[in-house]
Amino acid sequence: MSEHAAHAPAPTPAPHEEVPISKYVGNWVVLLALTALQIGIALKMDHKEHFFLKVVVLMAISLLNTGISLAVFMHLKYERATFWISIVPATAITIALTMICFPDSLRVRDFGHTEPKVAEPLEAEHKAESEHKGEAGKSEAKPEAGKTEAKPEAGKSEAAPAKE
Amino acid sequence: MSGAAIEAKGNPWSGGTLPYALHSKKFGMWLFLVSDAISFGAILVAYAYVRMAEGNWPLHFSTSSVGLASVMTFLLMTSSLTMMVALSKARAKDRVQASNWIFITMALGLGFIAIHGYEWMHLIEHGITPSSFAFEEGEELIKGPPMFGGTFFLITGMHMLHITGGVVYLFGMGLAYRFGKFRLVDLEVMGLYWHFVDLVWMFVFPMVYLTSVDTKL
Repeated sequence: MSEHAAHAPAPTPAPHEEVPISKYVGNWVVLLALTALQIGIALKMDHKEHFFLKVVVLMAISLLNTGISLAVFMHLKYERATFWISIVPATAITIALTMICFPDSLRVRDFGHTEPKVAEPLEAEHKAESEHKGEAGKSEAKPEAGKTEAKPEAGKSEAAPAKE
Repeated sequence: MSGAAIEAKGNPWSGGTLPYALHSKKFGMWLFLVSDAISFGAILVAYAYVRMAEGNWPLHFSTSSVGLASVMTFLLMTSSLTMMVALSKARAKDRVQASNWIFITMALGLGFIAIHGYEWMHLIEHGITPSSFAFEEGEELIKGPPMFGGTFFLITGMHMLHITGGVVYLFGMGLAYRFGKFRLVDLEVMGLYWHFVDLVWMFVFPMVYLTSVDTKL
């Protein structure tokens, strides 16, 4: 950086260009219309048959509303691109990442609050181990295949019955 | 090329001493709003989780409840517009008019709080509290998933806390600005906050109310 640049007075942010009130009124009308559309969809669409579609459409309209509000009312449209590119994607991605746990709610709904069962390979391992011990000790008393019962591990009880 | 020269050329990626060309107060408010947006986002995702996990989620809101919530939405959206009018008057250096429009915005916020308070009282009277969900149907007491009350009061409570804080903020700023204190940028910072609470409601309204409306009620 040149000496001149280092000692140059810091530039002050340029004031926003004046936006006519009519533009804000227009956006307000659009927001109201979109909200009215949401209400109409919520009341008309069948709740049981089209629940997912309903939620997706309602959220899409909410995102559109948010975009309008951010761009015009919160003036992001008139800020430097560097600013909104710095904050909007980062915030959106952070919120989207919290949704990683969301599909688990479908598991809870469909299968209930199940606890993890002993996995198949581990059970086979237990069998093999006990068979091996039986052979080493008393080969006559070797348990029949399928009758070996491993003690359930602490905290690993049977799965709860699925909810109806 | 010096930073000033780049600024003069209008390159938005010039960086330098003011990469965002944004007032520090506004930048501070934006950082707060980002953190708040993440908090609300996390709460709404948690709500969506319990909403989906519970197969028998009650459709507790009647069309009249949605009507009330729609009026609340209208008040908030209109308050965003009146806030912009206040800012426009402040740019025109008309402090009295700007202050008046801020008070109108505040009144709309108070209307929102009043309707929301009424709705809360109505729900509590019917046995829905933050820790329980039970309502009387004839002589029978019907119990539902307790998470309904918990999530409903948490989300709307946190939002109402923001609105209440915003109303106090509007009152203080409106009064002080009328008597010559504060500058335009301070009003713009307050406007950002107010628009944000409106923006959050745009998600709360469909997620909490519109997906739990029983059209037969």
